[in-house]
Amino acid sequence: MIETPGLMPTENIFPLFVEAMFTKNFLLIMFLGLCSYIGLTTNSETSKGMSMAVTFVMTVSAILTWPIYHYLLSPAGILGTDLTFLRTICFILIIASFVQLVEFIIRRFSPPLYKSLGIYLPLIATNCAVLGVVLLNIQEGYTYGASIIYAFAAGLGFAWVMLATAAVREKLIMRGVDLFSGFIGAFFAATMVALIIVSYFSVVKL
Amino acid sequence: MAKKSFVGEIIRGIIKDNPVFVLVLGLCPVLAVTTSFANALGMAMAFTFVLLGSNIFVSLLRKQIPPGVRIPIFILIICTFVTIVDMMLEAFLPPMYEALGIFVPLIVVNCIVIGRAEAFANRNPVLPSIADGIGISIGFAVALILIGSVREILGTGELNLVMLSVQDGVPGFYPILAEPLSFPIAPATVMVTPPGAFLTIAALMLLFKIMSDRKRMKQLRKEGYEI
Amino acid sequence: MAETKDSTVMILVKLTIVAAVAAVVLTATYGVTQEQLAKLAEAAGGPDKQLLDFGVVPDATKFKSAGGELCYEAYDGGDLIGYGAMAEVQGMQDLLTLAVGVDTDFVVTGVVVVSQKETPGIGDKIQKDEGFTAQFAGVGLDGLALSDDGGQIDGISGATISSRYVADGAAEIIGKMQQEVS
Repeated sequence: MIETPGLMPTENIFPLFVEAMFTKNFLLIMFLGLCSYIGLTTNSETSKGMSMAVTFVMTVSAILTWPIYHYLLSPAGILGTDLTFLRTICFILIIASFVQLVEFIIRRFSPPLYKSLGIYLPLIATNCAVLGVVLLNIQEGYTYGASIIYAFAAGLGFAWVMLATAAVREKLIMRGVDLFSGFIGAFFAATMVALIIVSYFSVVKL
Repeated sequence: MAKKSFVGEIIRGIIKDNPVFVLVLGLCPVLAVTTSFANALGMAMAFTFVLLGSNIFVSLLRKQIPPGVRIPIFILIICTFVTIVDMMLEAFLPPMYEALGIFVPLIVVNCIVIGRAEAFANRNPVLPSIADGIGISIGFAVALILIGSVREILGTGELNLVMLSVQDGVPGFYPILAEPLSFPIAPATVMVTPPGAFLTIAALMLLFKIMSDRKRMKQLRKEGYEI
Repeated sequence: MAETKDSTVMILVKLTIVAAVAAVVLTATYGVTQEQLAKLAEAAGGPDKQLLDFGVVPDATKFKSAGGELCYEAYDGGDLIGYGAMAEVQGMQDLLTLAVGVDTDFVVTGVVVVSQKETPGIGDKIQKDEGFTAQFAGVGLDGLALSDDGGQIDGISGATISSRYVADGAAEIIGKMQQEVS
């Protein structure tokens, strides 16, 4: 009755990409991963590190969780029983252990990479953008290929908003525009960027 | 810390440690599901159940939890409650389950819940932990409902007050009033879209900041400073 | 914090106990909710019963599968009086579920928006505004578009985009029904 989606993407890739990057942008439209957005965008260096780490972890999480869900938990999988209610707990444990593992590996083998990427990893295990993307992949019933592409594109969407906001906020803080140093300024900045996306894509159809 | 009254703990969670307006934590659901009063109420209830459950159990087990693996254990406990809420909503309140979508499972990674487990429940007995859970939940609910109501009123010109109740044996969120409250303003569609969420929370925070700044100014003037 | 210094074995045992208790609790809840879900599904009935409940073909007393995936035949007693179908189509935010009924000439007899996730207070009027869906009755496939696009359906002011998805979606479903039947 329940079929496992295929491995190769049958979805149209371009709309999927635009959707993940703009029309359903994780930060501005879906509201996923806002803690890091508000907290870290005062500095463009940290924003860069965080964006890279998030994109990386999102993509790999999609690669790891899809087979587990469809071949193990789903009633169409090899166990033949419906364990889908365990998906949240499974996904969060997979993501957390993976993040821990990566952090350990790069701290051991590549101190420079650890400095630019590794210190953000512990923050990511409990970032809702990562858990959000894997849950969405399941909910939308994407194929394996599409789910990886979607996760990567969502990561890029996260990154450009982080970097754009950080650039604006950093400059304003340097100029001493006090309003933008706090949370309030970050929210006003987010309002502007979100308005741009929503207005643009309500006029220009995909 | 240990000598605080039960009520005192609750009030602290609502005002001084308000998770949304003061600590600025757990923002994702605050912005995502507050398109209406009803959704905000549903989310607040799900959140309360999870936070209370997690606070009680973490606090009960606090002497048994090995410090090295405390975070995975917290996550396991929180995740159990989240999954229960998720399944219950799906079975008994399908419309609310549809409306809240992935934001119910995402309570697992809500910084407020894990933050309270780490900072409070793991260090305090059960009773204060319950008080803390109630206080923080009410604080969270107040923020959600405030934002939800503002967005619904400005975005649609109406406010539909609902309450969880059982009618004809079917549980659901039913309206309290026969007619939704109507406001004489032109609806601004943008308020129920994502940018409206950011705008609402920014404006509300600005309001709170101005109010607290004024209070501090008054205080300083009273103490004899020239401002 | 250092009240208990556990050995690795103890840590593992404790982790396992927590996980096991969690699994038992979840399985118990799963049993209860599955029962309720089964009840809900039974109450809702199959697509044939749902189409009857929605009244998309007002005179029909019975729906019967037409053998295809989508289309159900509507009977008034023993006479075939039309077709009904329920399907998901694209909406502004997410998919919409529409139930559509037509007579034997594929002129619409009724359209119901079964579920939608459009913007609350705006796009969701497609479901709440009964005057909107009432316009569909009596319209043929060629008229199934918003009046702005040259059809016969007036969109809800303020919710034009969602209205358009309903009109276009209904046309899409009827097109598929026609293909299946012929």
